[in-house]
Amino acid sequence: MKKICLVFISLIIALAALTGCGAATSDTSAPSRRGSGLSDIVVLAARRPLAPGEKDACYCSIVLKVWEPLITHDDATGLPKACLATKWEMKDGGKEWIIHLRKDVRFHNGKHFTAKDVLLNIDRMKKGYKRSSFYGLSVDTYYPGLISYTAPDPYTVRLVFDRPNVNQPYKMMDFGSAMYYPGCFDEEGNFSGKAIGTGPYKIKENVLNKYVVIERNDDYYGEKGKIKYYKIRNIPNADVRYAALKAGEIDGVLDLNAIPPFLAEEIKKDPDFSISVNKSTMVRFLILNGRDFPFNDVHMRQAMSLAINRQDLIKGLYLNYAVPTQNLLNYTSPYYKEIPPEYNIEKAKKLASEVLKGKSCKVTYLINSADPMQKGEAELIAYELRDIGLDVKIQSLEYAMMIRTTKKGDYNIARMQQGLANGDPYGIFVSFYTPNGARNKNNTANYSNTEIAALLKEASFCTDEKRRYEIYYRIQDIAAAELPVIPLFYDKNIVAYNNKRIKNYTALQYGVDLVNAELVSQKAQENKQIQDKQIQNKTDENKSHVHVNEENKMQDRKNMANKNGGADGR
Amino acid sequence: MIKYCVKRLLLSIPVIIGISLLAFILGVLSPGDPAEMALSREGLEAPTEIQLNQMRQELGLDKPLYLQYAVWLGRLCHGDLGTSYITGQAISDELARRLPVTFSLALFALLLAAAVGILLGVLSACYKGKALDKALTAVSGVMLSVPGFWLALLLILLFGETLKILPTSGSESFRHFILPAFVLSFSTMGVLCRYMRGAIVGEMGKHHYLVARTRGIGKMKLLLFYALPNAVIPVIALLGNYFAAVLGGSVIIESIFAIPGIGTMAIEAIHMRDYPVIQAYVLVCGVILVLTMLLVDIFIAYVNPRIRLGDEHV
Repeated sequence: MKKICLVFISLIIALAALTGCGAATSDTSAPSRRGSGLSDIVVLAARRPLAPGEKDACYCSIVLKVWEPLITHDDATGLPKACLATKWEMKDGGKEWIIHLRKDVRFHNGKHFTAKDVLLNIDRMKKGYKRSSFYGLSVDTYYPGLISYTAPDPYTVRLVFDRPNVNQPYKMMDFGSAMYYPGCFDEEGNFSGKAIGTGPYKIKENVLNKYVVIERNDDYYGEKGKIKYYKIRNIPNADVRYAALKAGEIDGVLDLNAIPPFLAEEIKKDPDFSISVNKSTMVRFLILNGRDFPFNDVHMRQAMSLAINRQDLIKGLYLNYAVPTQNLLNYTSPYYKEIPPEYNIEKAKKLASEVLKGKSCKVTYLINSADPMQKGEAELIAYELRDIGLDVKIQSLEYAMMIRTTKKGDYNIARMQQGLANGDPYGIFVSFYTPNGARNKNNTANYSNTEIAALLKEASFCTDEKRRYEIYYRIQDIAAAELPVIPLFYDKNIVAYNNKRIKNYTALQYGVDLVNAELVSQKAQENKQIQDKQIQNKTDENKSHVHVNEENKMQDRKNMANKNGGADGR
Repeated sequence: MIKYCVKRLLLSIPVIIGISLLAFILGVLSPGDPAEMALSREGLEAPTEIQLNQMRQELGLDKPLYLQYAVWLGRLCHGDLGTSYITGQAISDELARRLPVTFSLALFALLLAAAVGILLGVLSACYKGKALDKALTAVSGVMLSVPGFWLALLLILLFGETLKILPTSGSESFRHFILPAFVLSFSTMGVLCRYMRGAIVGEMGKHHYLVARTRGIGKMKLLLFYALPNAVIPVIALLGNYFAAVLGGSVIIESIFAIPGIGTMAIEAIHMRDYPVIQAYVLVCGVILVLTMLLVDIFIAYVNPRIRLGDEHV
């Protein structure tokens, strides 16, 4: 027995050492609320690590504001916007681009940012494809056909291509022109330590798969952050993020799918929490096997689109945190054309019966088993498609298996999604609407349209912006009519936060505005608490007043009843 | 004993190689293209066939399967578990980060299960047939039947959201492990309680205990100092299995409490068809299982010298 006790005690000591030591190291190195007062750090949570670290091409997401690109995007218009670059000029029909840089920028280590740093960052890109949890880094993707890159002066970069790259500023948006201090990289172009950028925040501590702490860059050239530290934890499960938010362990959530619509609606009911909503770059749609019957017929695709009541779907399942669409191009693109989805069941029935000859047809509808919303969505759609003679069998598959099945063409309908890396639709249109496009082939969509092919060819050379709009609008019209895929809706970026702790926590198209978010002052917190108490007291008073009134009324009724009873008795 | 341990360890090598081969075959047989998974990021990007081929070449997926396995085994002999297809991180670094987390959780759950389970079992046996015994039998029944994920959500709601006394997620301090360890050990507590009760009642029914009782030795003394050490031995074997199973990764609990252990790593790797991570995971779990079983055998022999290890006495 003594021996057992001995072993038991040593196990307890081992456990205390393991967990206790871990706590000590993390608590001393990272600033914490417990350690240094309530208001020195804001804790947020995301579903994936936002700083995957040295082996990731970007080290961390753009959301953290650690690094900045030469060109970013305007959140309101989707157009390219100056960041580290002040302006850019196109020459030789898009074969040459001159980029002018800001002169007042310093890296987090105090070194000046110049054109030489841009060239060294491009050198890094040329070392081969680098994987990333966000957007993989490849010179062929962002600078296709780059022949030379030079610096005529310390604040100008000249890029020369072997082909006209008329949409080069779009390609360079955000992840396409991320700038780091070149000393961060090892010989292979991977990070050899923490990423050093030029942004308003810098990496203070990064514990992989657990959290990252970022600290305000007080030497930042632009608008400085209002909050000194952010700690962004990795909490993959949405319900757990919600629980942590309610428990006060975190002050807000961010990143893709930060909070699902049903939890956003729930948390809104609590006055201590608020939500912020913006557009998202994600579009959800159904792909169709265009090689086989019945979706090889355009009328059947049209019938299917007409039979789906997207508005009801969004209202019922996504609680209006989505926007119905019949257009694959995301609504954040400046070239987006609004095409309201048409719902007309009679027209759908007519078109379908032309194809199915009045008979019903069995079709297989694939969904991703990892996304619980897809099942409900598929059931609703299957119910609607029954009216046009489609007998839908829903098959839930793991994503890798789903991709394989769609590639082989062993399906009829499958639910997919697509992000928009930059506002230029050229890449998406080529991928989905041309015979050799990656998504067109992988989806067995079998779609081709000679007009779209000709328009895309023209777009690749066209430098007239007005004409480019016309081209892209026309392609959207054709695709909305012929429906090689059935667009369903655009996502919305929803974030939630504790309004007692922070304010101005605004959702962007991707992430949140960390720079302008502010801590709610101690005084404001106290005022809010007093207000809340007053409201509570008033409510209680009203309740007790109502209660007293009801009691009085009851008493009156009793008296009356007694009186009546007495009278009757007499 | 050293000879016995070495023999056991040597015997486990072909078992582990067999496990790794099986993991490799099952991995590559399962449908899905790691290159596509690495590049497409669930549909956010649409890689071209050229990009996919480049990635396949980079990952060595263009080589024949036997060569892929041989390369992996060769690296393993040099202590290199490879790099993840998806993150590009060295797998040994990833395991070094995640294993201590899972180990802490498993150890905490083991201690909790052992302490509470054995205590309840002893109490139940002490008061055999009485109200407390009946109540504890009912409680252990509940413990066995409550689903872990449900209990986890309930405890998060109660101790995290409502009372705000324990963290709902994470693994940064001892406090973070209290809820997940409790949930993880909950059903094992029930098993141990019943097992312990049965073993003690069985022991106490043996002749020598009856004789001792007639000689005037107190029931409690008999139970605690004579019956319990004998009854606890099979429980140790049970706990050993349990510990190895939890070390293998408790996926649901790690996922619910956002604990970055090896269970969540394995699930992510399976989802993304990250073969080197899956193989490393299977290998590590195999080694853990073999070592745990060995340690349990040694420990049992240590606490009960009547037990023989192999052909020799300890």
